[in-house]
Amino acid sequence: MRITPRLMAIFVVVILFGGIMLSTGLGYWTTKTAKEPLKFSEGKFAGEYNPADIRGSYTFGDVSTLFEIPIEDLAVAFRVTDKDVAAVELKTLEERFIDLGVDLGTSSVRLFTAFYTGLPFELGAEETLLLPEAAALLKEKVTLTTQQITYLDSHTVSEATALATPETTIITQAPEPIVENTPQVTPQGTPRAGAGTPLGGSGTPDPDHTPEAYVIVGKTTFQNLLDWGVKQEDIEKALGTSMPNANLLIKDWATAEGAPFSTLKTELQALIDAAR
Amino acid sequence: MAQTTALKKPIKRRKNNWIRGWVQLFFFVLIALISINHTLAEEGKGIAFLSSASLHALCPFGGVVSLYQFITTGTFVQKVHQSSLILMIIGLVLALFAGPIFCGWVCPLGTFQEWIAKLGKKLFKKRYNHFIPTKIDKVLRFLRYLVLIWVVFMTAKSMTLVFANVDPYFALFNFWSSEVAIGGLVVLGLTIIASLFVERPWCKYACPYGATLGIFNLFRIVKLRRNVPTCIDCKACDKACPMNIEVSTATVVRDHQCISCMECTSSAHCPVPVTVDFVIGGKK
Repeated sequence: MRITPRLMAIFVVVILFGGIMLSTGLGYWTTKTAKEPLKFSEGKFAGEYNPADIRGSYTFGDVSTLFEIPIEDLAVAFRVTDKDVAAVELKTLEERFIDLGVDLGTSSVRLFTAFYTGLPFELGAEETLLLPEAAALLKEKVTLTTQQITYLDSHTVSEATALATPETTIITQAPEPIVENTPQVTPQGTPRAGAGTPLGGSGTPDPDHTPEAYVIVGKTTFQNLLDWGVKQEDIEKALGTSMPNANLLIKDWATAEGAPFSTLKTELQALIDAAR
Repeated sequence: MAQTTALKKPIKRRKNNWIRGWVQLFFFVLIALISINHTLAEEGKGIAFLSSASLHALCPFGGVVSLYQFITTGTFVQKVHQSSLILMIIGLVLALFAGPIFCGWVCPLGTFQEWIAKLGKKLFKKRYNHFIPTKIDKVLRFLRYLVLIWVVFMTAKSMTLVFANVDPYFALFNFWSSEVAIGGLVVLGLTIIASLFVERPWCKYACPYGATLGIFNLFRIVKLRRNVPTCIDCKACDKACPMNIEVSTATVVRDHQCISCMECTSSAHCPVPVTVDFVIGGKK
């Protein structure tokens, strides 16, 4: 049997769109990741969504629905003034606050959600910050533990920063490691061993650097990582590619590569902590 | 004898491979519109009746690079979705039937290169697509398998979409977006320049998905056959082939570079009817 171009064209269109229609009918055709975080598998919160698994692709509407937080509170906490707050994706936050020179992103939403809902959350995983509005809202609407209040006080962007330019950035940091007594769980919901351990880094401080200097922020470059003792090969492993120009801001690299800065930051921060 | 002579006489008739151009245009416009709609949807201005999926979700190669992770963990590489896996399966079904039809009929990047080739052909006439010495060209044609191995290995190792950093297809339809990697734009630029001298340079030398589908040419169900008794050896098929395959010396074309575009067939450039054709079965 001879195949003419016309037959071939029909074949291409039928198989391609037929396959898509069939998979749609069977429920297999999805062009987006299901927006449903992992649930806690055991303990008091078993069956509840885990705020630690909130992704950058979620919208504020998703967070509001999944965790039953009024959208108005989310809008205030993250200064979202868009017409359709519910449609704003969390991954846009980093770009929105880039001028503040601090890292406010998906991890901030995770923290806010955990505190707002009272769900367990591992505080030591990321150096997460909140806006003053978010902290004030939490203190006003939620009954927080002393430890949570202490954590909030030390991880809230100062009023001055929140209103100022990147050059005047001041972040209130805890002088001492904080002990978190909230139940700590892994993202899968398994009770985490060693809950209640210090959140800050350990080891003897380098006389040339304050502890804050070892924290990745928006202005941290790859050269900083090398200076802090992280090996180039470890950085490349975390990036999944060869080392970019060492003077490049990590945040800029993440933006250019379309990688979530908050995730990358966590990985690289772990390398810094290991190297120190 | 008289019958043989009659058979070898070219018969002028209307060629009907125009349909491929329209199919290509359709898919190019469709992907462009979806990509624009994706950007609009992120700003809350998307068009409701049109898909706003990201291009990563509509790339069958995403399925190929995610395969390892999908088998080992049941999840997809970041940015890749289940639709990529479905498209990968559809692409393989098409390839099993008649080779890399996806490349020759659907892939918008291939179409884009063919459009630039039209300009190259006007500029360089017969020299077009013949700048690279055959010996070097033959070796370079296997580069895309190295790219394939590298991409699959690195993706499995890093669990990130490493190919996105150099992907000209994504860059072509997202050059306005901040999501595009500089590497992708550079590769796209090089592809555009190279397309002025060589037809489908990305497909020939670098495309890992084309490399995957090209393997199917060895055992595709519908075979590209040349009917030796009726062939007048005019080499019109060779000249028409965008991938520089010597169709005129083969009985069955199994070259891994064939993109099933049908340009060499009697429906397009071969002047003798029923001489070069895609056929099912052993004999015509």
